[in-house]
Amino acid sequence: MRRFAIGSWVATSLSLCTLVIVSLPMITLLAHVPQNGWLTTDSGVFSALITSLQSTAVTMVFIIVLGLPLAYQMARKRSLWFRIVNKIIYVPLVMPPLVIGLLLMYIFGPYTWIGQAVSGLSGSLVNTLVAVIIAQFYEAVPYFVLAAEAAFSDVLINYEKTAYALGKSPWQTFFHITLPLALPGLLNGVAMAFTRSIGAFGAVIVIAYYPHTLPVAMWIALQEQGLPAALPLALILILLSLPLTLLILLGRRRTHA
Amino acid sequence: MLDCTLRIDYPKFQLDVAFVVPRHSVYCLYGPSGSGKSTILAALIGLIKPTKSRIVYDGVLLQDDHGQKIAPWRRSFSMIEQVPKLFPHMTLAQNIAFAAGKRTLGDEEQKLIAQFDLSDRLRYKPHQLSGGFQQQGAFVRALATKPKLLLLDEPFFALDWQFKEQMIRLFAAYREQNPVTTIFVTHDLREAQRLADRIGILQDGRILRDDRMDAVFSQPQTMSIAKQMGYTSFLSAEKYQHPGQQYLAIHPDRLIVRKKGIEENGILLGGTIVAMTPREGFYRIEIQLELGDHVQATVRHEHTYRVGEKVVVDLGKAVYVV
Repeated sequence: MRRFAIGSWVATSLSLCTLVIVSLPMITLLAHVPQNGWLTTDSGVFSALITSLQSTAVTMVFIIVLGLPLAYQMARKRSLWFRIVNKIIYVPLVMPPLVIGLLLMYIFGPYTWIGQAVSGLSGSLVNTLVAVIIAQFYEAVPYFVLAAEAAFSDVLINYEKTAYALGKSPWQTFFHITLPLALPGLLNGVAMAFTRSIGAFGAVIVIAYYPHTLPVAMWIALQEQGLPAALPLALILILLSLPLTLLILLGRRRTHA
Repeated sequence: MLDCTLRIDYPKFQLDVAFVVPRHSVYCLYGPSGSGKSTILAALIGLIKPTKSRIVYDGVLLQDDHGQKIAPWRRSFSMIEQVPKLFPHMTLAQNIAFAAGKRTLGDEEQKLIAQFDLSDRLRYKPHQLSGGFQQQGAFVRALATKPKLLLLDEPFFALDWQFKEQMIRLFAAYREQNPVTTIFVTHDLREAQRLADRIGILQDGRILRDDRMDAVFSQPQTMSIAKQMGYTSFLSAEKYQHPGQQYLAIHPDRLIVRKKGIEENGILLGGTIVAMTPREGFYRIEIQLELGDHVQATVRHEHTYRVGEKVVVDLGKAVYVV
C-alpha cells in the first residue's frame, strides 16, 4: 500500500513537471506579447496572413482528397503492397522539413523538366503560391494520412459487414457507416495537418521565400527587427490553429458522451 | 426459391453442400459449432468467395464459378446475426430507415416497428437499449429491407430465455403474414422445431440429411442424426428381439415410464431408476434395464419417482437407426 502511494506520488509530480515544461512556451508568449505592444501594423503582416490562409486552405483540400482514399485502403487491406505504402507515408514525416525543401527544389526547381514545363506556361514555379502549397502539402500530409488510417482502423469492420449483409453497396456503406464512425478521428487528423500546414517553415522557405507566409514573415521579422517584432506573429499563428483544434476536441467529447 | 451449390476449401476444412429452399419456407441448417453453418451464410451474402459455387434465386443466376453475376448488395438478401450490431452512431429509427433506404420512417416501417413492440424505443441510440431490445431492433432493421431471402445466423443465441421466447413468437407471428423465405442457422433443436419447415443436418461441412423437420425428428435413420435430434439412448436391436435391425433409438420425451404394477401391457421392460436430474419443468431420469443397458426418460415434476425405485418402460415409440 505504502509503496503504491510513493509510486503514485512520483507519477503525479513527474506529470506536473511535464505539464509545466510543455506549457512554458505558451505562458511565455502570453506574458510577453502585451509588453511589446500589439502589432507594429505594417502591411506585410496582413498579406502574410492572407497568403497563409489561402495556401493552407488549398493544401488541406489536396491533403483530404488525396489522403482519404489512401488512408482507408491502408486501414483495410493487408497485402504486402499496402504494408509498403504504410512505410512510405512515414518518409516525409521523418525527413527534416529543410531537407524536403531542398529535394522539392530538385523536383520543381527552374532547371528540372517539371519546372521548365511549368515555366513555359506561367514562369517559374519557385516563389509562387503554388510552391507554398506544394511545400505545405509535403510537410503536412503524413499527419492526416496516419491519423485517418487509425480512425478507419478503429471502425470495426463488423459494422461494414453488417451493412453489406443488409444489402447496402460499398459506397452507401462508406458514406453512411464508415465515414460517420471515423469522423472524430478524421477531424483530429485535419486539425493536426492544418496546424502543420499553416506552420510549415523549413520546406516552404527553400522553395517559396515569396510570397511570405506567416512563418516566413516571422523569420524575417526576427532577423531584421529582433525577437519582440516576431512574437505577435507567433501569437496570430497559434490563434489560427487553436479554434479548429478546440472545436474538434469539443466535438469529440460530444460524440463520446 | 433458392437453389445453391457451394464448395469452400480451407486448409483444414472443406465445405461441400447443395440445397434448395422452397419459396416462403424456413430452411434450417442444423448442426454443431464448426460444422460450416455460418460459412454458408457468409458465402450466400457474398462476404467470402467460395472455391466453387452456383447460386440461383427464382431462376436468376446470382453467381457461379465465373464469378458474381449479381453483386451481393443487389441480391435483396438480409442477414441477422447472433449479436445485433446496430450502427452505434444512429438511433434505432435511423438504423431502420437506413436499412429501408429512406430518410425517414414510412408507414410500412412503422407497422413493422409496432409489430415488434419497439415504437417507444425509436429515439434511443443502441447503447441505451438492452441487449434484447437491440436484437429486436436488428430483426426490424433486417426486415425493413424487405428481403427476398432472410438469413438468420443463430439470432436467438445471446438472448435470455424470456426474450428468446418473445423473439421467436414475434418472428413466427410476422412470418404468418409475411412468409419471407428464410434460412435459419441454429444448433438449438427447440428453436429449429419451432420455426423450420425443412432441415439440413450439417456435419463437418456436409449435409447428412435434408428433409421435412418432422420426418427427420420422427425417423432420424442414422445414429448420428438421432443424436443431433436429441435421442439419448441406443439399444442393440438384436438383444431386444428386433431382428434385422441395428439399433433402437430412444428419445427421452417419448419413452413412457410407469410405476411397477400399473397397466402392464405393451412392450414393457423392467428397470431401476439410478439417477434423477431436475431440468426446467421436468426431471430427466436414468433407468438401468434388467438386461443391463441404460435409458433416459423425461418425467414431469408431479411424478413421485425416487432413485432406486423399480419401474417399467414402454419401448413402443423407439425407432430403428443404423
